[in-house]
Amino acid sequence: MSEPLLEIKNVTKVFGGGLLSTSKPVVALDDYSLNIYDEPAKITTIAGESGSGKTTLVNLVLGYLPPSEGQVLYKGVSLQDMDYQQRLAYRREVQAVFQDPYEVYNPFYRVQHIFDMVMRNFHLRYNKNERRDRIEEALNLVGLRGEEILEKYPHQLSGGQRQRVMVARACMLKPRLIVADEPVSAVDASLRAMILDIMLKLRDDFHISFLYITHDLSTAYQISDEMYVLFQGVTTERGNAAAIIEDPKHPYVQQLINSIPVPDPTIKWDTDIHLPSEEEMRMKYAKGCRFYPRCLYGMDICKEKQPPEYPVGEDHLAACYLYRDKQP
Amino acid sequence: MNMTIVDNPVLAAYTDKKKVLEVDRLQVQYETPRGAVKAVDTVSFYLKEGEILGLVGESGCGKTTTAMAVLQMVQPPGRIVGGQIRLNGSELVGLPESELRKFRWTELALIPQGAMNSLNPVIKIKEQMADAILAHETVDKKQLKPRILKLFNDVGLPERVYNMYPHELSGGMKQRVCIAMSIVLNPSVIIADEPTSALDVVVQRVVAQTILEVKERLGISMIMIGHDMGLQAQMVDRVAVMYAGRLVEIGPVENMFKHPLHPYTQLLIEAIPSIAEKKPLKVTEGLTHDLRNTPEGCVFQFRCPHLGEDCINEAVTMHQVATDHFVACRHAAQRASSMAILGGTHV
Repeated sequence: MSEPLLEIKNVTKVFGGGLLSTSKPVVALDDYSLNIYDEPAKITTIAGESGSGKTTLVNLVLGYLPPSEGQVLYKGVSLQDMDYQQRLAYRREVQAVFQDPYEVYNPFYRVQHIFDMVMRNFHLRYNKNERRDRIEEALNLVGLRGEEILEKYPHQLSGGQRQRVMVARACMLKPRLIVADEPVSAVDASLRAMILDIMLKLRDDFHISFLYITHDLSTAYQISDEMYVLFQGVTTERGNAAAIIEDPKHPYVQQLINSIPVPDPTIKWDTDIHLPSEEEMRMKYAKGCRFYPRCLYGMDICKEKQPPEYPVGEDHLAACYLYRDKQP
Repeated sequence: MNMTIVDNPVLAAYTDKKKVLEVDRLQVQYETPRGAVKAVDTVSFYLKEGEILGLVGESGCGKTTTAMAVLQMVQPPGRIVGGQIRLNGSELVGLPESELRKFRWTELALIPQGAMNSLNPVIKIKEQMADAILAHETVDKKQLKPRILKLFNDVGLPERVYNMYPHELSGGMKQRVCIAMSIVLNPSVIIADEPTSALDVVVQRVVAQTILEVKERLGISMIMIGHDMGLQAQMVDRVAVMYAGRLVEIGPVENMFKHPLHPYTQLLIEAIPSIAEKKPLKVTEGLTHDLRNTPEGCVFQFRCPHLGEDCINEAVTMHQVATDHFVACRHAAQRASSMAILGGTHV
């Protein structure tokens, strides 16, 4: 296989615990690896609950935080070792769309300003007409028209429009990868479908890969190709998104999927769910499986060390000792 | 019964159980320099004894404002400009603050949106719980502790929480403290404003089950605001759908999911992402109109896929299509009666 577009190689990120710190260090990501190949372009989902390390991962990929150990490589070059030109290219080819479309705007500037900033920062030397055409082109991609919104202030746009403008801004640079950090969790159901639809269109027609960060497994199922389910900084299950959702193997992922409310009043939640008491949760099996305190199938070996990934199907791996002897 | 009930067809309708709460043509407006925003516009519904009524709709449609109006807690520049709210037969609108205190919390409690932020961070849980009790009752201090511990037991919290500060609790536990607080005085109606929206799915499910259990045990009626249709399907008995300040459809949850009548309800249900099957996403066009400038005729006319001429010109009223089921669309009502899909009494 060719070289991955983005490679996260055994990255560990620890917060706190410095020389003068009194609190215990928090391990946000533990020996974490991830590859994104973009032949063809794919939507890769990172799913996990709050505190699972999703946001840390975004910050590492965008280069906002250096990893404590390990490397984040873009086209084979570590983000930490890039020279100016490489960094500029990286900044152009990897774009981000953030969660809250209400907070990413400076309320004092018109929408036009966002696009002008992009032009200026990336030295896109277009003349006036070309500039206008490029902006118009990017906006059309997301179903907006320049004359409708460029002269408006952010507060005059609806939530869906704001989020689409952010996608248009990201697209204008012709990126290879867009990091979408919960892009739809703050918008309504009808707009959610629209934004997800735009993502699919960008993937198919413009060859843009996505790193889609979410806690919502149902939208991930609808649009993503690959999926990684994170739990407390480690991958519990990964592989083909449809395979994971339709036939989850790891006990954590099974619990997650069983807990999604079914939009059908005739099918009620059946089994009662077991959440351990706080004491059990607090017991740290520093070496063992992170999910052990909540797991229904806990075995002795689970306390000893973090399970490696075992294949459980075609393009489908689960980090759980339940599958150590089974061959798919 | 006075005249106003009789001439509101929604409230005059037959139900099998007692109507605990009746909202009669409620109107709430927010004053702005460029005209009044009609956040809640002639909304009428009732809440039956022991049921959970879900209140859904997109953000800005007036869900929370309706709930706040029921609690008489609309903040300026908003104000209730018309309509009536009756709780167990007594009128709430226009009561002075001192009278309202008798209803709040004892009869009508709130589980607020984002429980994380509704607890005072510098006061221990036990004192916050005691506050709620002492504000309404004169209780012997010695009886306070067992009473609070019993409440913790009811919502599945460990006793240790009694002596803790809010920051020591997880999100799900804080939410349960809020549930415990809402039932502390045995209210007959609880309004839960997105009680689980900030929680992870697993915790959300546990909290949702706690709410159902508590409601069942104490026989409380609830209004549950939310936008997660999946959660609504799991929890509520009837669903009320709001759009642009109006109630567009209200009915039993099974009917609403199986045969949604109003075009907006249909749209909401189609937009639910599913994990049962992979299907193309339903994309909807159009924007809600400016609420300062409500159109003549149907409020949904700018986004409706089945727009007729009469929708633009003639005002829309609630049509009853079955017991406890009303829809604000004359085409949908006609369709329902001609197809007889819903059973029950047709009007």
